[in-house]
This record gives sequence, structure tokens and C-alpha cells, in this order.
Amino acid sequence: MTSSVITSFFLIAGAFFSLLAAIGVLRFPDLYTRMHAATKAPAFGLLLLQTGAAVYFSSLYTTLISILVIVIIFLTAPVASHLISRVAHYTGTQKWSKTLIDELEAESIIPEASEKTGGEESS
Amino acid sequence: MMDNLPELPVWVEMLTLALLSSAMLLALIRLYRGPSPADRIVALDLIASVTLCFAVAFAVISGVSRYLDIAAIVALVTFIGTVAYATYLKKRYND
Amino acid sequence: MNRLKKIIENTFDFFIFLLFYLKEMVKANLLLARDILSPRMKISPAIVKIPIRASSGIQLLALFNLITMTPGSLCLDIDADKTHIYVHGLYVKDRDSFEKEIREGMEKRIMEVFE
Repeated sequence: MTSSVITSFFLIAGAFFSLLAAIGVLRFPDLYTRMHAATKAPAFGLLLLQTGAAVYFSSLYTTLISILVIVIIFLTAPVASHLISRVAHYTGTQKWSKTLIDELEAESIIPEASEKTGGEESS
Repeated sequence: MMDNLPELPVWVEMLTLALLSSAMLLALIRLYRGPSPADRIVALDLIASVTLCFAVAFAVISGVSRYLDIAAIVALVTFIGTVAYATYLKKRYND
Repeated sequence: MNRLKKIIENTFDFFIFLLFYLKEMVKANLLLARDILSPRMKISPAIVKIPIRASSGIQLLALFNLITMTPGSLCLDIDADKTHIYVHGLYVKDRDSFEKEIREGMEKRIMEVFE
């Protein structure tokens, strides 16, 4: 009974955070703010869902699989966001007009790419 | 396998699946609309995460713990997929 | 004996760090939830270049991870000689307090746990 209540809570909370990530990705104004929603919230939702599954089955096997998946997700999510930001920089993605400071564009990491996109943005 | 697992209320299962389905739908809208290729990668990444959540939720709902293996494999493949897409775009825009 | 003690201390530190990480993550997601669901978003994004002291691989990994998962900050890139990182902040009021938050709040902790 208790286990069922706990599992229900974790399931609904995990699904809710996944939905939250999707709403955030749809609503936020530019790529970088969208990445905020797309890295944090799904990882947290998955953490909750896996915890729910581990509580529900309560066996050694499911617990180990859950820990494995959580570790994989939490190690790879920042790397994926880093790669996406690299691509955004290469392809010259526009930033939101209300971005306060931007020190990434000022001194570029990849010289030839910034020359290529610099012309497009100034026009 | 099904013997001593606790029973979940039906509305909990339905609500979980409904929330995950709407998340998938919204991510697909962003995939369709996304102005830049990077936006599309973000949407694809999110879709993969939602698929992962689906696998876990389905394992719990059906009561078969073997379905959790799907989650482990999708978690590994997703990352490689994102890296491959990012590398491809970088190569393409370099030329 | 001395070595064993050190290993136990390190493990203890790591678990404290894990709890801190979990707490920060819950906070980050609640903040994100409030922001996403409120009709008018109160965000002021900025990209800030921050000097770092962390140098070894595991320190950089932990720092990247912690910055990405904590409220309102996202690690974007690291420059070629690994002395500066580019952080995207969601709630940046002014540059210096944001930099201070990253350096004192997170990097210091990382340097203590992963030496």
C-alpha cells in the first residue's frame, strides 16, 4: 500500500517534469534559454521515474539498472548541451534580443566560423 | 513476475501516460518549428528523454522489470545520436 | 592506517557533495517550473566569461556538471587553454555577483572535494 502510494507520486512527478521541459522548450525565446529547460528538467524527471521504478519492483536488479541509467544521463546531459552550444556557435544562431551581456561572441573561440557568420549577422 | 507487486490505481497510470504524451507532442511541435538546426537537436534530445521516460513508465505499468533494459539502452544510444548529429552539422557548416 | 583514514574522509566528502548536488537540483527544477508556468517570464539571460582554477579532468567534469545542473546557469564552452569558461545565466542581475556566485559557491566546493 505504502509502496503503491510512493510509486504513484514518483511516476506523476517524473512525468510532470518531462512535460515541464517540453513546455519550456516551446515557450522560451531563444536556443540558450531552451537548453536550460531541456537539460535540467528531463534529467530530474527521469531521476524521479527511475526512483519510482526501483521502489515499485524493489529488487536488486531494478535498483542497479536504475542507478546505471541515472549515472549515464547525468554524465552525458552536460556534454550534450556543450556540443549543442558549439553547433549553435558554428551555425551562427541568433540570441534573444534582451540578452544582457554576451562575452562569447566578442572573443570568438573558433575564428574561421565567426568570420563566416559575422557577415550575415551584421547585415 | 506479477505475483507480489503492489497494485497501482488506474488513474495514476493514465495520468502519467497522458503527461508524457503531451510532452512528446510539444517536443514534436518544437522539432517542426525550430528555426535553427541547433533547436532541432534540442528537440530531438528532449524526444529521446521522453522516450526513456515512456520505457520506465511502461515497465512499471505492465509490471515487467525487463523493460527497464530498454531505458538503459536508449540512454546510451541517445547520447551517441546527439553527438553524431552535432558533429555532422559542424562538418557541414565548415565546408 | 593514514591512507585508510584519507579514503574514508574522501568518501564522506563525496557523499556530502552528492547531497548538495541533489538539493541544488531540486531547487533548480522548482525555480524552472515557476518560471516556465508563470505567464510573464522574469528572465534576464547573459553569457559571462569566468576564469577558473580547476585544471584536472575530473574537476572540470564535476564543475561543468554542477554548473549545468544548478539553478539558472548553464555551461556553454571552455576556451583552448582551459583557463576560462563561458557560462549562460538565466537570472543575471549584474556580472560581478554572478561570477562571484559561481566561483565561491561552486568552484570552491569542487576544489575541496576533488583534489
